[in-house]
Amino acid sequence: MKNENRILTLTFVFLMAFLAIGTFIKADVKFSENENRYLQSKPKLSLENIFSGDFESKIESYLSDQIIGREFWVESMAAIENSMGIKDVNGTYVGYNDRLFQRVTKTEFDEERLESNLLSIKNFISELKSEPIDVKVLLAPTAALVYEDKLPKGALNFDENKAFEKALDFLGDNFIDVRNTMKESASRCTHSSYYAPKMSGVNKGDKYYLTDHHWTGYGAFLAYRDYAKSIGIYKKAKLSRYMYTNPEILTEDFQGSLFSKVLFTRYVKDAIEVPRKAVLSNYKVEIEGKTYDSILFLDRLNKKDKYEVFFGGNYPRVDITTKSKGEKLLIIKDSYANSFIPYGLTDFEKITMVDTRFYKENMLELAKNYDKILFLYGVSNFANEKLMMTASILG
Amino acid sequence: MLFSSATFLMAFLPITLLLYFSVTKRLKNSIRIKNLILLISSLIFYGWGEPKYILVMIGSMIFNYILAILIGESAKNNSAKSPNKNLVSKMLLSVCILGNLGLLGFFKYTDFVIRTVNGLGGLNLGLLNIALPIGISFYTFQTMSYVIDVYKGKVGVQKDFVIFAAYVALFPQLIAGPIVRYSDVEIQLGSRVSSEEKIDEGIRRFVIGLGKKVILANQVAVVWEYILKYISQEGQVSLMTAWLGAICFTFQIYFDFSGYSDMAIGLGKIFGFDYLENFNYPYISGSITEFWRRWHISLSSWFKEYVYIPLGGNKKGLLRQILNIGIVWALTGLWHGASWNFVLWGLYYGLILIIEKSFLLKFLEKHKVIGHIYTIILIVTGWVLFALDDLSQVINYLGLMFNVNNPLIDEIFIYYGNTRLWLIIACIIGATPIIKKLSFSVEENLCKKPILFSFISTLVFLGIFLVSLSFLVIGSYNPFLYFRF
Repeated sequence: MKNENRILTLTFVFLMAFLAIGTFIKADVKFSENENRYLQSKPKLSLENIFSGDFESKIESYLSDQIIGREFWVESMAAIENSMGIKDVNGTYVGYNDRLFQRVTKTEFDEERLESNLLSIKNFISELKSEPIDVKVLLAPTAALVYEDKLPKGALNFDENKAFEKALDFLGDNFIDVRNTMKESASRCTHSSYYAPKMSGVNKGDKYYLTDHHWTGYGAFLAYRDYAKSIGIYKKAKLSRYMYTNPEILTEDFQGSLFSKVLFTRYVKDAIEVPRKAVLSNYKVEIEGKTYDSILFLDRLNKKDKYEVFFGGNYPRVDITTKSKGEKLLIIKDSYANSFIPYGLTDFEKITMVDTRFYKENMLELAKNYDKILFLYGVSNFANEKLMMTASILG
Repeated sequence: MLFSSATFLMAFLPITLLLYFSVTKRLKNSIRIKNLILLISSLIFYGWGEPKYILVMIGSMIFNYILAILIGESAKNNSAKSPNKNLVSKMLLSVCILGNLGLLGFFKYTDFVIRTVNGLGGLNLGLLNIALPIGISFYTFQTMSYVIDVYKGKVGVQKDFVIFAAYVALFPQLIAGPIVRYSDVEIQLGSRVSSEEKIDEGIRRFVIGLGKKVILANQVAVVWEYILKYISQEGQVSLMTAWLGAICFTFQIYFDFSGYSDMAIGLGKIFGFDYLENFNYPYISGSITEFWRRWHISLSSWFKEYVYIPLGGNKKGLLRQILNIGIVWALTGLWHGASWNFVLWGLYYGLILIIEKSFLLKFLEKHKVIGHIYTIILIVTGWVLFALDDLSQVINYLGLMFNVNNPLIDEIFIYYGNTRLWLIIACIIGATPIIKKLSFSVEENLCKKPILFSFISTLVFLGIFLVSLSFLVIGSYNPFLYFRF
């Protein structure tokens, strides 16, 4: 065979050798920061494992988890799909200017669970009728609702407005509808002295991160302001407390959960901002038996999931005691509350956060110790959570 | 194990190739050693997914191996002049066929029978939920072809168990075909040469197959699955969306299955085997008759040779021919799956073929454009019958496709039509011989610069492979349609 005819064969022989040997030689990666999970380690070779099929499935996970250049392959696929016009990549929409959206379609949104969760909360509220407790429910809309015009054309999503209407139906005045607040454009800011003329950070007025499904510091601020209005503390306090002025920028290199799914939007970054009062260290923060003096865990800024700078993650229960005078607030929440709470640090003397996925105690009994209760969830997460609001937990 | 998996591409295949090609020709009995390597690696390949079912396959191998020898022996008692095989041979053949079909029937059709009996008799017998050993439909048909051909005197008895077992279990075609008849590889099993040309050809074929499966089939599958899920939840989609879904499935099953056949043929070539083609651009057909000469060729020719012709074919009058066609197509449908919608799918094609044979074919050949359109519509509709197990689902889906009162488009069609445009175009091009012809003409144009051509084609195949690899690593979507066979 002539030499030129060998080129292909030799190329593939080298390629195969490179993949097999390269993966074998390369040290195993234990934890993938991007995927936020532990990667498969070398499975144990034993007769038992082989016969049960356990070894075989683990080897497949191991090889694809540890393949040499793994992130390169993932990033390539995402980039190729995106350039072919396929805008839903790995469960994420790639929108205008590479803004990323979490993709939640009609078939993925559990309407029934949404209703049963709303009903549970309604029952919870009526259980507390006799108490002087103000219960509110705030669902954070998705970026797809707020930045609808930035979505890829015709992007399929669940009917979010319908979900909000349902919440209003079930909960009435107890429900805080922040949709319009969020949708109002940031350009309104420049005309009013309410708002900081220089909104710093890469996001400049974004209410949702470009690379993560959470709301930004500004988005959380807007939601908090609506909450404060609804419980009446907005009118009483000085306006300046609620102004989003001169936020503290913790980082401008944040690339969140949605970035992890696509990896090819390398130049798109977010800024994590907090109000100045959040940076102070004069709080008593109790998490799982340990006490800290700040709500911020600045060392998390060196890791990939920088959103964890807020409280270091999600726990069954977190208690914050401030040096302010005010009431006691109980927040039943998911991760959206983590960036929301900083704005309330000077309005309450105690804030307790509870995650129903992990908190196993009697919620109703706990609630009776507080003056204000807030259910705070991202709307798509809320419908997909097995919200343990059943009677067994409540009462 | 699947071809399109990390385990296969990064571990199994490199190791097997290394072992196989380290056996040089100079070694005594090199072919025997090579066949042994193939046999052992094939058993590992098969057992990888389900260790238990190796025993079923080995049992089937031993059974058929022995029976073939016995049939061969008893055939020696036939006089060359006697046209009828003696009774013993006939009995042995019957035992063999019943055994093989019994095995297949037990694993694949028991619950089907129970469900049917339940449905007809209003009973509620419990299903046995027997798991289907992978590839059983393929290897039982392969071994039957061997024994029947031994009986007919078409092939010699294979006394070397290693060679015979290797034939049955050969991993390239074990799980998803093509159905390789013993007569096609009889000689190659005993003496084959792995030439560099063949290896080169084999690699190309394999890469094309991998690309078809991972890049094209898996991607259109996403659309089809979404539409199905949406219908099951919301009940309804627009007419165009229903068609889009059916067309996506039409492409999915073609690229999935023909891609797998390409990989099988490619791997076979690398090891020195020449398998027959299994697909020949079926979607460019101008009639259903032509379609079935181009789709899953190994299956339709198996049924023709071992069922249709023995039943008399078209040699016993028109009425008998129609009956024979009906039987063959019902069985063809049933082979694909243990469910009545598959039988219906088979009979659907049987009926169309009868009509075409009677008068329609001449018309279609004169009016080619109508012929192509007619064929595509029937094929796509046929796949809906094939894809949905539940007959009520089939009726519902076909209703969405053909009811003029159904709204024309909806948001699903707009979104997927927009974002999958290039994908669908790629699928349409891939289903025709355009690319093949293009590459031939490029080769001709560059005949004076063979190195340049070789370089370009290497880059193209490398590109396909690397893109396929990156699609595989995400790994979230790698369904294999023909698994239930």
